[in-house]
Amino acid sequence: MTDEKNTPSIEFLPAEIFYRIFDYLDASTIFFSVRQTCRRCYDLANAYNRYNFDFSSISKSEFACLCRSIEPENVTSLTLADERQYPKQTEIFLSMVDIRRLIRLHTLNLFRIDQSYLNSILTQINMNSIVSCHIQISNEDSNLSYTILQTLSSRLISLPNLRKLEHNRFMNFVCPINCSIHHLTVHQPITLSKFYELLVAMSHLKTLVVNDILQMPISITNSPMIFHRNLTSLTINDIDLKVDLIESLLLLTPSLQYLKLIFSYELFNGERWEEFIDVNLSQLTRFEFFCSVVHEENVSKAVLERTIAPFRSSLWIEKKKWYVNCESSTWSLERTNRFFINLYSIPVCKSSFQYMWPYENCFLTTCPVKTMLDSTMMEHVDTVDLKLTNNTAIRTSKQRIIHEAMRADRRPLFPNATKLYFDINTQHSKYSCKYLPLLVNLTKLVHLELNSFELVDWDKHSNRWKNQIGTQILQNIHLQSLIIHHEISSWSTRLKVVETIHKLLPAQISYLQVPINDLNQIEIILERCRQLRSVLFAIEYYAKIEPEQVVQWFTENTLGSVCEIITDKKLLIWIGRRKITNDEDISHKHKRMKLTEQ
Amino acid sequence: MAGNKIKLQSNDGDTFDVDVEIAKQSATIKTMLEDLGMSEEDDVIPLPNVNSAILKKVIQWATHHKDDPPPPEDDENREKNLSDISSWDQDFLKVDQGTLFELILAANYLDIKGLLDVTCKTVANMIKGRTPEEIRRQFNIKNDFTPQEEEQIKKENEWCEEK
Repeated sequence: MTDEKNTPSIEFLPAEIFYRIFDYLDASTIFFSVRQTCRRCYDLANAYNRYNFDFSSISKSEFACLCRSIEPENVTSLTLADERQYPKQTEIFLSMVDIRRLIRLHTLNLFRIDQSYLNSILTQINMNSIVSCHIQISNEDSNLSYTILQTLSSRLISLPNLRKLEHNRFMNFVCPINCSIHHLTVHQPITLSKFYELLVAMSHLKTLVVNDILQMPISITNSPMIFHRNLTSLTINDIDLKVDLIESLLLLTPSLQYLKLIFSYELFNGERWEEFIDVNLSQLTRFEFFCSVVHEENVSKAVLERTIAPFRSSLWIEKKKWYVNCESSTWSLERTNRFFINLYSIPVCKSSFQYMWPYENCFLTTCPVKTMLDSTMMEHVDTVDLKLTNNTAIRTSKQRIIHEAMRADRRPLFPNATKLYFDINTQHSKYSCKYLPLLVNLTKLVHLELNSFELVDWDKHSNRWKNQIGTQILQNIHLQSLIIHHEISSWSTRLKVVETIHKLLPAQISYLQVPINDLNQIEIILERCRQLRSVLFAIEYYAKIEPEQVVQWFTENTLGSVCEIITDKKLLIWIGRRKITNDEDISHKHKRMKLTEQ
Repeated sequence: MAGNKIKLQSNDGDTFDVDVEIAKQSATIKTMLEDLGMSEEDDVIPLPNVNSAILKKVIQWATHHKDDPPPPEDDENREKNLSDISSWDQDFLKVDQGTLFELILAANYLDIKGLLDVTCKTVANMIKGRTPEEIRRQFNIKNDFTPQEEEQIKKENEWCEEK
């Protein structure tokens, strides 16, 4: 394409290629980074007409600038943020942008939106162009009624070009003939009869994800059997039906290639499922399941062996290569022991996983290659809830296993986890922090929530805590969101603890939830975390500051911050731009400049 | 031409025997074969815009992806996801920037949508999260704004947020 003397650089790429690259970037990156690199990029960004307004994590000043600068006709994708982190964003967006001009929008994502704003958007935007839509209605909206939700659901599924719909309040709807939806995700339980209706009404449906299917009085066998031959992917999370009902339901979907079931009603019978799949789901290439059931007594190895034995047949291991783990575990909850059997396909198909130190753990697998088991078992887990507070557990055999793992330099148990909920206290931080890199890849963490922050014996443990939490975790370069909940036992250490937390805050985070007990700490936090976009301050109950004083601080020191007082001790701020001390006159030359060739 | 193979010729004269089905991942070659009446028996298909080293890489990519499902038609309305690059593609694209851009230009010329998508995604990943100065350094872009123009852009943005 070019000779060696003329090796292409990015500047040689034609405009159409730049626009293709822009298609993978959000509006902020194009407008505030790419556009400001050189004259050509400036012109390309100004001419681009497929902007993705992704406001799920954005500073108030960039948000305002994008809303004012980019013509709505040049926006094809809109995502408004969760109002629990970015207060009043939807309201401000509606006041700044003439949404009737969003005529080319094909993707619309609205998270925790109030119904009144949703109505405004749905009635003013040309919804006929929408291809993909994710709507999550706020559960706190008191004005919601069954009728409203029913109307909304019916409206959404009637959109002529909609291919993908994700929704959390999908109420009784009227489905049009030839509904165009190909991919449907419903974040709520639906009844068995509704599931059946969905299959009948949505003939184009290829992928269906539901949170649960509830058995209702209407029996599926009373309805005419209509097979849905287009559905190739079905996921049911937290299913609560007996196996014979699940089977009767799956009889209607003979073309399934992917099936995922997570349930806790009864253990999978490998023999029965083998026969059912062989006869009724011949096209199934991927079958993922997870079942966890309570056992009345301590589980013997013989019980586990009996449970897993059917999964060692040629269909499971040779033909399909679907491998299964079976394990027993005992948890000590409130001084009583509970016994569980977990039976699951590997890799584990749950995206969220709670991990505690079990006292004892017996484990069997059908996976023939142990290294494969180690490296892939938890690769789909995105969210880990870690509870490492049981001192007794540290002395169990698990500790020896961990030491062996550390010596072997294995990769973490949850290698792809990006969100970590971490229960920690001072006494156990030595063990917790030491073992943490064995459980998660710290460099991949994006969101961290530190819970039950019981910092006893602070003076004794503070240095170790600072080193372990501060150096090992909080200074992680990819962390974007940090939430710190704390309970401090000792009155005398409160001030020191809060100040120490502030000193350990990672500089690059964009969302923070943190305690404060002094107005001066706001400046310290903003200086330290310069990329902070939104912050939730939890005012210590003994602190002599009121939320209104915090609001006043932001009014005096920033431009355009949005503050929302949640309670008398909690307030949320979407942070505006810091005021410049030596004021500059920026009132002149308001028009966008025209660049001319030099 | 033997069997189901065709010959592709790079702009520096090298020829490559390629399975027809693999070569047809290029809409440009597919059109030449089907619409323009070229047959597999024709001697060679010249590709004047692609050099030998890049054509070899393109054939390697197309061979690995020969059994992939066809890319969706409705490209503009498709969801764009930066994180779904397979580990094979990630390894394949661990190349210097010159090669990466040549692959993009070749994918564009040959109209191989899958390769164009994954190479553009790779460049987008190199841009994401960077400041203008970091992008300039990353791609060796010369800052050709005058100081006055830079100041003007800064003021434009400030004005927008305060309007």
